Amino acid sequence: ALLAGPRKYYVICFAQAHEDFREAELRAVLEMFQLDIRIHAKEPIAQSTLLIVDSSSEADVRKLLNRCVSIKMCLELWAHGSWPDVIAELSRLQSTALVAPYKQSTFKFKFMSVGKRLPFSFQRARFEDLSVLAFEGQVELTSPDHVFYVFEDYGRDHNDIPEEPLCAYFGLFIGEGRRDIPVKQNLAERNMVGTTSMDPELSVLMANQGRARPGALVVDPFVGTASVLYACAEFGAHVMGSDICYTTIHGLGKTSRANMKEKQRTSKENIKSNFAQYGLADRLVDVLVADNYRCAWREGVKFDAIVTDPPYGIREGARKIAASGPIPSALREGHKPKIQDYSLTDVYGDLFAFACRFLVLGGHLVFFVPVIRAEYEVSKLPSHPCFRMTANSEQVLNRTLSRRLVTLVKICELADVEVRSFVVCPIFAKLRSYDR
Amino acid sequence: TALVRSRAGMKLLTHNMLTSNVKGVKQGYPLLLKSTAVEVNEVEFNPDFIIRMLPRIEWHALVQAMDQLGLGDEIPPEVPEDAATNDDFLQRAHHALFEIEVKEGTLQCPESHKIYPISNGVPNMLLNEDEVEEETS
Repeated sequence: ALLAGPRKYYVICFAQAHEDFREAELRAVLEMFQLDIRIHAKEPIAQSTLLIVDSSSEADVRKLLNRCVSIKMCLELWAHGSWPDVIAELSRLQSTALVAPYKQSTFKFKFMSVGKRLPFSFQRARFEDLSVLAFEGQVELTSPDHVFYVFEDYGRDHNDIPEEPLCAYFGLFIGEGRRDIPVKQNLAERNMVGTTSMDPELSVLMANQGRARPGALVVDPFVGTASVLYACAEFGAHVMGSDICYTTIHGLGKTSRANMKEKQRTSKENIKSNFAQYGLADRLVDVLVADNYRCAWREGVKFDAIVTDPPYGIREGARKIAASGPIPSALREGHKPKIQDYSLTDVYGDLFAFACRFLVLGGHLVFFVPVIRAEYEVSKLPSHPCFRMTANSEQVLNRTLSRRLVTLVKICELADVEVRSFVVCPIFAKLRSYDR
Repeated sequence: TALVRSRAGMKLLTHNMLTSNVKGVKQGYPLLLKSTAVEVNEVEFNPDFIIRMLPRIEWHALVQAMDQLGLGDEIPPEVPEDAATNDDFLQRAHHALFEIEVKEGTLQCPESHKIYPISNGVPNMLLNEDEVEEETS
């Protein structure tokens, strides 16, 4: 697998989760850092665990790995094809400049297969075949200088597993993706969670769609327990959030922890303590209690990204302050404003209005939207003339419903226009009947 | 073990971004800041972020907020021309925007005198029903 010039092939191994988000994440990161990586996809990326790319820069490949939660690991690809082809290619390569730097190093071989479990004896036979590389260094199992992998792909049809792999790959281990972030931020060990806390892996995918990075200010206007913001902060962004729910922002009320149903939240169950738990306290600007419908941000405020999971009523309904006549002064002390339901079209309409005013030009608006799968068409998603869609990935919830992570980039400013009138949300026409 | 510290209160960057949203108010900015509990906490200095934020900050409102906390002499009255390369200025801006935290206090609309409480470090910008616009639809 030698390319002309300094370019090399790499093979990316994806994790088997949220397949429809892989390509969107990859492309968002490539665009954000302007990485010199070319994708060679033979089939839709959502359907293949392995993806070949080429690049002139291993540093660029490492930047990609450093951001992607979809990626399990990456190899510098030396050979691929049927196993005899791989061995023939390696025996040709062993005398070339590609292999020369590794001849004297300590090393270890590892084996991984997709779609078929293989016994250790099979793996050892593969490793013996690799003697064609004529490595002169010692095998070192605990801390080798270099790790090499054999990947074998047996396809996804579990009823018809082939004898021989569809394709075998051999290469030098370069690094892992960011599967560590959802492990670090897992909900089971988080100080405070809510009933609808976002899966940490999806939060990382959202943060990448928002291009969260050092120097950026990211806001979540439906912040809840701030799940989305921990991932954004992990990538170096400064973050802010607001929510209409006073008890969530203050970490009051009943805990959402299973088997603790009757207990109130403890003093450490709050958003700020979660940021501290993750060592991200310095990246949190503030979270506040506010109503998106009656915005409290001044004119001229600009965020670099809006990343949010709006309350769309499947588990958590949306609310805003109800308008009314004057409240008698005797009742003012300790008065809690009356809250009314907030329709889905209004939720997204207000989100677009917010993004029109407070998102920088070129900034990304990232949100989940619920859809009825049978009726889904991309043209039915909420849209607005100031925004262009850059990604749209599906998370299936059940046979009927899914939610889609939509990423839009702001392409122009609207001046003195009733922005809400532009928002088109035909997707919600029937969805109300699925609410709560 | 890593230093684990919980954030205490509202930052002045946040104060700088908030306005009164009471119906009919024309000049709801900047909000008057009163505090009964302020903490100063060291936050990692990130000059690139400060430089990026400077064009988005209303400096006069930050100066006013610092004055109202009795800390007015800690920052200059104007943004200097060489702000982006002036390390002393960036340190002071960082200190004012990120390190001063209002734990308890109030934000007050300069026109309607509506009071937004800051409790346990969280500003509450919710209005009562009689302070919001009737819906037009």
